[in-house]
Amino acid sequence: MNCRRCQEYLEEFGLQEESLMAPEVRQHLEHCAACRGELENVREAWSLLAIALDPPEVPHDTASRLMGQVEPSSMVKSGSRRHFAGLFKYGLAASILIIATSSLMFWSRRQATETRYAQRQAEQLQKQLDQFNDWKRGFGHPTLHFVSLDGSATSPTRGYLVHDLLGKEGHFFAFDTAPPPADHIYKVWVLTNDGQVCASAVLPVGDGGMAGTTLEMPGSAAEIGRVIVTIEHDPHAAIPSKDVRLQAVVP
Amino acid sequence: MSSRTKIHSTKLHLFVPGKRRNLMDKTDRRRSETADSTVDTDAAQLFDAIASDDAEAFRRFFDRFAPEVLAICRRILGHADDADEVTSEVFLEIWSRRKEYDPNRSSPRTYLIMLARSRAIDRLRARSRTDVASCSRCPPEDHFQTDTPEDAAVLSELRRAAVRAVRDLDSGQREALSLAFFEGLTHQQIADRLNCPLGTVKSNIRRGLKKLQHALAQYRSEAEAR
Repeated sequence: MNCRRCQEYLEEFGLQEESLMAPEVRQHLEHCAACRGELENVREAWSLLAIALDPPEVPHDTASRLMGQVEPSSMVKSGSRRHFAGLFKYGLAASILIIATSSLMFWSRRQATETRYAQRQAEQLQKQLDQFNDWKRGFGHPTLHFVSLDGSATSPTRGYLVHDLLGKEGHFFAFDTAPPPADHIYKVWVLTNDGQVCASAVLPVGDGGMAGTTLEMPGSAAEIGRVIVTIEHDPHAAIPSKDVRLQAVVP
Repeated sequence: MSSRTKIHSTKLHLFVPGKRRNLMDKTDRRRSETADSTVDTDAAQLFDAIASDDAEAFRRFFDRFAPEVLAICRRILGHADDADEVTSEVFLEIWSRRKEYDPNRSSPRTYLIMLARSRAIDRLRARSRTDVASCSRCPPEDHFQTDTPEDAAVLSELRRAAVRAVRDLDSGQREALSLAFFEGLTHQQIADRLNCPLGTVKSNIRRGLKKLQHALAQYRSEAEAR
């Protein structure tokens, strides 16, 4: 299917749900940004018909009935008190990291258009902190897996990896991190039980020795055997160097 | 390196279990910087919060958009109780599919309007032919916002632009567009209903849509100029 035929189709069927459109059109839309943009333009134009309608008064009980059916998915589940103490520590540490990093971002971007972003970030940050507080108050969450990394005996540096099993993401943060040697960077590596790299990410270090990054992770903690932080010369290195600064063996 | 391996930039990712978030995402930045409408920006933020299971944001989203959704449902279904019920269903669907919404594919408002229209038309089709006939007796023009000075004072800018755009359509265009949008009729069904040639219906819809698109573009350029 070409764009002309696709757009002819959209003239008549652009209001249809995409799942009901002809398969070749759906396929074309998946790959053609121009036609997808055209579809959105057409739908926005159609929407004016709805926006122009008289807005009626919504019955008072509709909202309360609706909210009665909406239960926010609880982030707090039962678990051990030992886990609670760990969560408290990690939650607090992550909150501090987020506040510090967000503050850096706020101050580093001073253009006028950033004001709205700052507000949005603040809202999201507050939400995030609320979430951590939920975890702190509760006893853990089955979809989160924590890994604590140790440095050498003389190094104060510690690292933490929060593995979000549901989102398949890892959120790594470290404290008291010394700047890497000139022309070098830190890199976080997640290795499988047989030593293969299953995720890695450059670990930037901010003010105060705080460092944080995000990794794509497998959906199961069982696949992870080891997490390390190394010093690398090449940020694109595919294999970790021998210069390991933090490490953890995942039980 | 495995295909799963990905090197991330130094941008901060705040995370929510099950949902990837990048606060400084370029798409969001563009969305925020355009003067398209504050409402859409706010709606995008609310949608973000809803995706993170924020029930309070969902309540605010409902308060803001429920009148619009209810208006669509009432216009399509012509029956207050049914419209209330479908409105609730639409918002429940928003909540239950909150992780699936993709801001790169559609603005929140368009997404919501299309969903409401679709669900109301599903209900309309499920009803008996008699009910459909009774609904179709409602003249479409009666449901559009009137543009009196008093109304204009309280209408949002986008709604004012929409009212103006719909009012400026030819009656044939407005009728054809209304039948397609609010009753879900195909071009051929509209031609049968209006007893006019199929080509005329297609032409009316094409021209009507162009006018609406032009009005929308004009609204946006004026909004950007402000």
